[in-house]
Amino acid sequence: MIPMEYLSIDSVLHGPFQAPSQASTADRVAHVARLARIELRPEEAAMLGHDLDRILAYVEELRAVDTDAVEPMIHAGDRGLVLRQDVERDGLGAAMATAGAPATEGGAFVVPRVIG
Amino acid sequence: MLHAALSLPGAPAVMGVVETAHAIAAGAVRASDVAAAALARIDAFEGDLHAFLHVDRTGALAAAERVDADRRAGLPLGPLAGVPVHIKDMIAVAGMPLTAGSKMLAGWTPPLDATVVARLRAAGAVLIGKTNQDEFAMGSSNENSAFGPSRNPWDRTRVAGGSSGGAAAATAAGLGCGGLGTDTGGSVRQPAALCGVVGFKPTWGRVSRAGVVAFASSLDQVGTLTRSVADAAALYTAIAGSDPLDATSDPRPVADCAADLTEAKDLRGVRLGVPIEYLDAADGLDAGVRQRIEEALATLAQRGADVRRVSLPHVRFGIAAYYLVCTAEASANLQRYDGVRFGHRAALAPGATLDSLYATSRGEGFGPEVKRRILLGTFALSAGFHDAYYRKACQVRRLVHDDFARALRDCDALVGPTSPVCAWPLGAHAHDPLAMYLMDIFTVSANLAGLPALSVPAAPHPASALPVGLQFVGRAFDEASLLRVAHAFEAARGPCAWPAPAARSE
Repeated sequence: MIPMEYLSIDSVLHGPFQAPSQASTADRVAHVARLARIELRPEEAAMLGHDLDRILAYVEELRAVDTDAVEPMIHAGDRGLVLRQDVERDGLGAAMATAGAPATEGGAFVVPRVIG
Repeated sequence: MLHAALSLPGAPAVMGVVETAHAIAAGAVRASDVAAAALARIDAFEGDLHAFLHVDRTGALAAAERVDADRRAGLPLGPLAGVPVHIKDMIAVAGMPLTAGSKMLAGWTPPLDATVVARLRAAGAVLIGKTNQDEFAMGSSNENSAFGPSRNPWDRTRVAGGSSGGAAAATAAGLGCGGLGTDTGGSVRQPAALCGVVGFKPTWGRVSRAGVVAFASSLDQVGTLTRSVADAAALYTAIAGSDPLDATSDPRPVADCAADLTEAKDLRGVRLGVPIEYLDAADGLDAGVRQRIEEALATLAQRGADVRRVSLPHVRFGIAAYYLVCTAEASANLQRYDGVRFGHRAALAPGATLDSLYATSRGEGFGPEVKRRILLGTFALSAGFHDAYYRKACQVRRLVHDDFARALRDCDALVGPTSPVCAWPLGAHAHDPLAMYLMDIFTVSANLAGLPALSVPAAPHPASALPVGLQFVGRAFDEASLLRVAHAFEAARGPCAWPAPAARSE
């Protein structure tokens, strides 16, 4: 198993990870799997690392496109920020909202202890 | 007729959406008989096709009986009253399980209808079940379904396409009159092409996504799979239009496209652009597919269309841009599968933390392609790489969008192949994700640009007799024109002599 350590936001954002040219495939996969909160089996990490290397090599072709002064297109909408009236409406209610949850107690979701 | 070969002894012939609605409204057939016939066809073909993840026998028959009762009572019937339709498993139907093709959501039942489902119900449609798909709509062959792939009705050793492969297979086999899929990079149009049906993706923003599982929100759109363009227009007209529950849905009024298609028009004065990158200069385009597309272009010209070559110089970068944008958005959207609120939860090991619960639940619940895409998207958005990958892809997306905008200033629609190849054998690309991504070469750009697009069957492949799809791409929010052009092509093409599906698997 790849160790899952989450010491702080800072260690996640500025962890021991280098640019793709220097980082090994295994380091890269371990880093992004940690960011994405996905535990991988070793053979799975090896397969996905190989795939990511190939896909990242393919998307390198984008570097050939001159995008100086091109505004990134985030979506196809043309209406800017859409706001709605701030009016009250009924939600699902605790019973219905928790009905499909894997572990509940008294209308709440159960999680491992977060605060010591 | 297109699907006469799929007749079942003792059952009524397969009818389309419009035909069924008319027959029920006229009292020529009862809705409960139509529903029973659809369920009987599912019983006969589902074992081979695996098009469904859930069939709601009781609900379908009850809904059909309500339609019959309303008709007997002289109450007004909705435009789709009694029409049996299926819903891709990405879309919530209250009371039916929703998995999105993933073990992550196995056993989960949503509490509410998606807006598109509520609108179909309001129009009188009978919901027969949930169709199979690639896990979270990530795939082009249906082989990424955690529950096993759908098979192609025309040759059951071949893929149905994806991700809405179940919906395409069900529609081709006459299991219901048609249904809803979702299209993020071609997931309605490509399986429609591979299964020989009509797949229609409206403009981004035209149809509400409220209650639809989010994959890549700037690209996802709900679309239709039907056996004719008129049927596509009928389902589209029922589901389109703004929705207060989806801030990305657009307030522009929706034309009644179904009423517009009562007779086939000729194409005089219609300017159709053929992107050279999709035909003349396309790498990997099968020779038989190319032949059928060129014949279709000749048919369009015979009907009076001005068919001309155009260039979309940046679409060759579409796949690379698409697979960075969609994975980046997926990595954010799929954060919600955390083992806490819904879906799979790993057994808690001693000393488990909230973080380890997330990681083990996600590690166990997601399949390989979903993990691959979340990891790629996480990488593309990560500190130090965001500008070189995600931002760069969004800039290239702008250039692709501008290519289409330029071409559609001088053309009413663009036309070319939907897929570079016909349905391929199951397993042929299952272990090569990049080869699978390249299958979306002609479809992803319409999603990047947000444009409406439709795949309609051309003549079958000259060698294999497998279906070939012809794709039209139109102007934003002008679905009416796109449907008119496709309808005119369909009428000019005439009925296709399809092989009988049952004869092909042995």
